[in-house]
Amino acid sequence: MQNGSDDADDMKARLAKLASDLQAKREAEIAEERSRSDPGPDKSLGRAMSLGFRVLTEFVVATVIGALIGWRLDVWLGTAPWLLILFLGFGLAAGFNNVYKLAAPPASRAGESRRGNEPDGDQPPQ
Amino acid sequence: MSEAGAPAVDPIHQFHIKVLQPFDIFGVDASFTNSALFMAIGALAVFFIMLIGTSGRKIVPTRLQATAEMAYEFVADMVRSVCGESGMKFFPLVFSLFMFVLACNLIGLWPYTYEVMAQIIITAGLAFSIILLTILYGIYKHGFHWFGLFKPSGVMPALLPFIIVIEILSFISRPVSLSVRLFANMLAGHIMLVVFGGFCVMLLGAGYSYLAPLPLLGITVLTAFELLVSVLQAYVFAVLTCVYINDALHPGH
Repeated sequence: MQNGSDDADDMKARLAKLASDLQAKREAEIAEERSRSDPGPDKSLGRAMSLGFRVLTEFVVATVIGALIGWRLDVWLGTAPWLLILFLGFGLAAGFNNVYKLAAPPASRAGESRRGNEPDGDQPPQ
Repeated sequence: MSEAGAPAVDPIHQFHIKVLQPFDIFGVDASFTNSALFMAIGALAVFFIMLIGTSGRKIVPTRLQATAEMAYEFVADMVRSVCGESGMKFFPLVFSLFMFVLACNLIGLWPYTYEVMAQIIITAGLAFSIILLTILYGIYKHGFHWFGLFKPSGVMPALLPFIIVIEILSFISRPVSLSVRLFANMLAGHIMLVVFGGFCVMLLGAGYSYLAPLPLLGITVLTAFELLVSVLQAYVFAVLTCVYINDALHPGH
């Protein structure tokens, strides 16, 4: 009995040590990943594809939505084709805006919310 | 050419909704269809993989447990790196979304199954619910400040109305691009598979049997490619959900 609980304590201590070691290792890995920005060759294909799809859809969809809104407003207000032209321009600008945001993530944000351990006010009360 | 052969190579035929069990609630057609069946299968598959995978809790994991743990760690790392520690309260949502989309996509790759995510109403339903959630949560959390999302700082006052319209359009395009991306990828991939299968049949039928293995080879390559796209699109869907949730959590950025 005594021996059994000793074993359990021992196991618990070992588990705790393992957990802290894993945490340290993960943090080191994240730090390493952040310092070196080029991913491996197999990862880069998937990453490039997903980025390509994102750029394509974000741009096209924003333009189409702008055109749709302009078209429906024209039909509604009877001002064809001026609002269509105006909102097509807005949609294009929104599409470029989306692509720009994808291509250039704000530098200030990269530091604080990438890692995410910043003490902000959103933490739920423990 | 022949009447009987036409439906076999019709690439859209695989997406037809078949009513399996007619069902009517107060005039609303709520029939159980093949689409609903495969959504249920996907959800149940995730449910049982996670349930059985986490029931053992061995220190040296079994295969199923390793799968469950890898999925958990993958999504948890993703949520943590995009939304920060405070975004972890949305982890259950993101995890369920990722696993559901992934399961549906992978099940849909099997022959004679149904690709649920190639229906735009499904992806649009998911995407619009996510955006609605982020809007409601953002307003609940930040009140009127949340609308600052549409007003970037440091803009000339004269340009502000245009910028705000552009930002609002950008925001509206989010759920649409989120749903269209998943839907279009799955639709195009599955149509492509059937079209290549049709090439194979047509070459055989036209007597070029020595050429017929070529499209078959193409199908093999495409299936591998579709596997990549399935996983990738599930991942992109989940990452963008995290990005939008992050905007609701920290609208000031």
